[in-house]
Amino acid sequence: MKRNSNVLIILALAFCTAFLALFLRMDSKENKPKGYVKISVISRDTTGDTMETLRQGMEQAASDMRAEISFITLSKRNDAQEQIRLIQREVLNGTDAILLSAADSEELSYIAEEVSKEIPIYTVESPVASDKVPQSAESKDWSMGRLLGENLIYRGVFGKKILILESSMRCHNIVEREKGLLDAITGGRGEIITAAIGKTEDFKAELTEVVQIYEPDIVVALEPYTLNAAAEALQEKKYGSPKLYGICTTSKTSQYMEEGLIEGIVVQNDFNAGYLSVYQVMKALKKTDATIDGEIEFALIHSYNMYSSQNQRLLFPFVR
Amino acid sequence: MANKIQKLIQYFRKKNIRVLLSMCFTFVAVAGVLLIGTSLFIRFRTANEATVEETHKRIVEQVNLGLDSYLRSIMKVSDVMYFRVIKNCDMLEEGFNSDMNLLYEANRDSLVSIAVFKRDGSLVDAVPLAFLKQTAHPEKQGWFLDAVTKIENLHFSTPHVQNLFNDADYRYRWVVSLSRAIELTYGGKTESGVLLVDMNFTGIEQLFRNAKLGDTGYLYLINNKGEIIYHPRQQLIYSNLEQENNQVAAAYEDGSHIEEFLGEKRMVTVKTVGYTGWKIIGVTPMADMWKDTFQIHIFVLFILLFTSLLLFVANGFISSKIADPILELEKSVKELERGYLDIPIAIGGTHEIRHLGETIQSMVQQMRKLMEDIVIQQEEKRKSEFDALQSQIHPHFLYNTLDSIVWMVENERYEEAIVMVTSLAGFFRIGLSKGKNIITVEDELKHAKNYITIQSMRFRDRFTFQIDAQPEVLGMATIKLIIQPLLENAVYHGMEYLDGEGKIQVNAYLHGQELYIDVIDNGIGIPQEKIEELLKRDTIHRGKGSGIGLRNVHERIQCYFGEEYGLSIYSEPDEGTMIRIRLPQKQYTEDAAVRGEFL
Amino acid sequence: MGKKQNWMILCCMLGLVWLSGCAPSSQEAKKVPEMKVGILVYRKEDTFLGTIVEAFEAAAKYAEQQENIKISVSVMDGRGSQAVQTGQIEKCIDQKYDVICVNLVDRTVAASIIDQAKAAQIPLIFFNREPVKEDLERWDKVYYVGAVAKESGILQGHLIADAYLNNPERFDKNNDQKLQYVMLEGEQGHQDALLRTEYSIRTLVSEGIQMDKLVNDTANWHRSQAATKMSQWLEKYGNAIEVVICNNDDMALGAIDAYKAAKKLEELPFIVGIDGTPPAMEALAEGTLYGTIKNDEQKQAQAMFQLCYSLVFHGKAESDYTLEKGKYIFINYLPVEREIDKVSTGNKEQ
Repeated sequence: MKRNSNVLIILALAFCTAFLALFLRMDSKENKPKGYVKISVISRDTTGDTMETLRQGMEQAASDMRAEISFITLSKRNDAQEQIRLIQREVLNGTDAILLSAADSEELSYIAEEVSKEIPIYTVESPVASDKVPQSAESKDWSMGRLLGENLIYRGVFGKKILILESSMRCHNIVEREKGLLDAITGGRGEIITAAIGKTEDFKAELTEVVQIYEPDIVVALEPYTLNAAAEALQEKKYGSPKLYGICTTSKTSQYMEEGLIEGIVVQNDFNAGYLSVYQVMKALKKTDATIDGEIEFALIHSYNMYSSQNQRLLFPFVR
Repeated sequence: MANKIQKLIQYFRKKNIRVLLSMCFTFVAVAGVLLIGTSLFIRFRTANEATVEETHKRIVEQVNLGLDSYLRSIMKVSDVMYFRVIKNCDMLEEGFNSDMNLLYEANRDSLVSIAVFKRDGSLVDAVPLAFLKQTAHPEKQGWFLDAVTKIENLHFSTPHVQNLFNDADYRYRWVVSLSRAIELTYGGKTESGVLLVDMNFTGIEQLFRNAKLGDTGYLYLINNKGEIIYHPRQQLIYSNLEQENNQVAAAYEDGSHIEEFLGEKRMVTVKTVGYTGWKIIGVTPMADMWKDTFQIHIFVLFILLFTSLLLFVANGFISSKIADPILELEKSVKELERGYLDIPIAIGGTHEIRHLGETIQSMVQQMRKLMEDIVIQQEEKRKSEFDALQSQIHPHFLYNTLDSIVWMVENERYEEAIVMVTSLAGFFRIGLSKGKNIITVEDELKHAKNYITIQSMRFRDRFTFQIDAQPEVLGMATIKLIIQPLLENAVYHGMEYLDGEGKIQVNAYLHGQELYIDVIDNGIGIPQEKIEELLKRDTIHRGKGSGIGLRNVHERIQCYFGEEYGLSIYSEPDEGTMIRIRLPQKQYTEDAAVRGEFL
Repeated sequence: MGKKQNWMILCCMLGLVWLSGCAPSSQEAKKVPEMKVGILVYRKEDTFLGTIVEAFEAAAKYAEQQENIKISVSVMDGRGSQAVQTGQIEKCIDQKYDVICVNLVDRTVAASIIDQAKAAQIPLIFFNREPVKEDLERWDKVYYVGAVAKESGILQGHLIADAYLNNPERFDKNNDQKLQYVMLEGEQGHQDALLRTEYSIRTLVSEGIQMDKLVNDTANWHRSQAATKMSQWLEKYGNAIEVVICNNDDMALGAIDAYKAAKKLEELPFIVGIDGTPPAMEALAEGTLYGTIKNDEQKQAQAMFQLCYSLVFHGKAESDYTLEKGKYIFINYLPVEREIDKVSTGNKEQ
């Protein structure tokens, strides 16, 4: 009898404690917001412009999932060494995760692998050459190149000179884009010329030079930076009037397209890419229990259809 | 089913009363608590839901008011622009740019642009930007077509990117266009055209952002076709990262609805905005609504469990209070059953149980006393029999009798000696009667006769005697040796001091339900006070012969047949004495005689 | 089961509860010193602000490399809406930025922002748009970095006056000894717009030049809006416009755009702006823009950065530039003119 009542008392006490614990926990959960998860985004460009939409997506996701994005740009475009230093610094400074747009897919793979042992590291836009460092979303680069190529063929390339502006070729995504493009247009009846640019700071001058040498009918830029530069060069009438195509976009690109400087662009939904990249990180850190499976769709857009309801959503994210 | 219930009942029956009681109490109490708890809880929940619903309605109502006045202010811009500016203005004489500018500057926060187009889509004037893009084709855009197809109305478009004007900043804004058909005056002639007022989302956004529906609730705006005008997560929906139930919501009536969307139950509050047909939709996930009350849920649950626990403990206590005395009592009774009569009976608990215990206790005491009595009685019986027997073989009697016989033989009175010896033999034979206590009245009378014969011969005919019996009494049963002591008494006390001739009469007859054997003498009689003492057990009475004799007979009769039987003594000094033996009328059987019992 | 064991279990449970309430304390690794700066601009398309932000970022990058520290600069665009900007400030405060630099959308709402920052003890640096003195005095960790707007107006006035006085025939198209001018003003209510407009004309008049205002209007610092306005005026006044005075370079470039669009480049009047942004310098080199007053974004950015740096790492406000009243840093303007005209006017510096 006595033991029985003892057990009962213990039970009641345990019960009360458990309840109190639950109550307190609930309380603290509601009153005390969790700290922000720090995510360092390391760009491969000097400004955020080329990743504008991507960044908007990231910031939206960050505010949804209580993350804090620190967007880091380089002092020199595509400087792999600087990226390595930055990654080391960010890890040392206790960032929770890294999103990397690799300036050099090969050169950065080692450090990215090393970092991946400690904190989640995902690549956006430009991947690294390692299986251990995942991309935040499945790469569509090859398909985008291919789509552009198919469209060129469809429009007719007979006897035309197609100049592909090779820049940032140390980034695998750019290489993929070119592969996709070449895959579609090789064997077509056009002449394919590739030219490496980006050796100096003055893109426009390089472009003008290259165009003057080859006198192409069609110019394809593989990334927005070169695309915009080419459009600006075209605007300044520094060379003839080749048709300009490109992959990916910035807000300037649309303007150039409207002005007729750019013929068409393949655009992917960078907003989604950005959003999903942060989502991936948060998921890897187990800081979110949302399930989001958004597709990163892409489309070929010309000036005449850029305001169709689908395309305007792709080109101009509704961000406030 | 019935079988199971039966089994259950069986099970409970086997359980002891305490467990049963506490189980029943607990069951009832917990059921009560649960019932009360649940009903309170449900009430609370419905009340809560109603409150939330009411609050949300109010919020949506407020947003509606805000939105309405906001849209009206925009419409007013369009109205003023048209009725005050354009109508009064001949385009050939003067422009209306400054007025338009004024309107724009006054509403700069909510407007993106104001523009006037001719019917063919060419720009008449616009603020703040006025260079139409080369690629812009206003006449092909939805708002333009709406305006020219239904010229009497104002038209609000769905959100789209404003793409009409050259902007050196590469700005692309999402706007909602308000368009209407207008008439432009050119030198007195009118020409139709379209007035466009593009509004930005700042105003709408502020209205919708500031209105909070719980923690995760939100508001969005759709047009009558279900297309989203404003949504706090518009881009996510545009990029298919999230879904909204806007198409379904378009069909909702104003008021609150419960819908299930993507596996989530949510409360939707709908309010249609005037004129535009837009709908404000307030969405609150049900889970969110209940999250606020989650603490209360937990609390209620806790209280319920705690109360149950308390009740459980309390019931255990109460039932043990009630049941323990019963159990104790039961245990005592069990002991009793096993034959331990002298253990104490547990008395405790409530009045009823105490009473029960007390009763059992007194019963047991009674029983014990009775049993003790029986033992004493038995002992006494044996003793009196033994006494009786002993008195039979009274050495004086035998000695005197033998002495008389010797005397008769010496005097050659053989006849008499023979009678004497025969009588003596008969006397002893019946007196011993194979150890049986019960004999027939006939035998007893014979025995008496033998005795009285011996005595009368010894006392030389100092007295006469007569033994009469009704024939029907002869076969009846009696205990032996009851008449002889009376005779002995009559002979020694009645005859001894008698001067005249003594007379002893024995009558056996039936009287009512009883059998009477009267022994009557005409001796000196017994004083009254002595009569009373004679039959009393504890009187020590030692006289000649044996007073023990009478008492012994009396007790033996009572011992065998009960208190109502026995001896009655009626005596009158100098007249004589009658001692009456009262016995029940019982036929003699061999069995009963062997067992020696009648009762 | 003994009583002791029961108590043990109880203790364990209590311990667990206690533990669950506490977050595990992270150990401090050897970190690079870090500074989080939020820069909030009213509208990121504003060219001059763009240059300030760029200069600030460059200064931050330089300091990072020089001193092995981490400076994260978050630039946020208010998109011309004070509501948006207020939200961004709240976010900065919530995310515990070390210092916040604000270019207000509406300079009259500074008070509430200062109060919020004060509550969170986060220093505030306003730039370019100056809150009123009363607001700035609400808290001692509020600073303002900008230029003396009045000075830019005076310099602009001098610039025009000198040019005109040196070569009256060239500007006075109709030879009436007056300068017919149009004025493109900045946003209503912006202190710079008011002061620049006021003092440029006042200076011109004080130089003894007769001014004849054709029209003035606000173009909200906006190039395209300025172009729109200018093209309307161009239509109305045509060649009568002798001087276009603009409150900033963007609007001056807009005016030039209007002339280009109207294909009237040969009529291009005397256009002056303020700020000295890179596109303006290009236009200057091209010859379309006559002159501008350099609003020294490098120095302003430098001053801002130094303030941020010293506030975060030294806990007090320090700068190479004079800190007036412990709150204000004013950077001087420099007039910039076309090389060919410079010979005669010289470089007027205060």
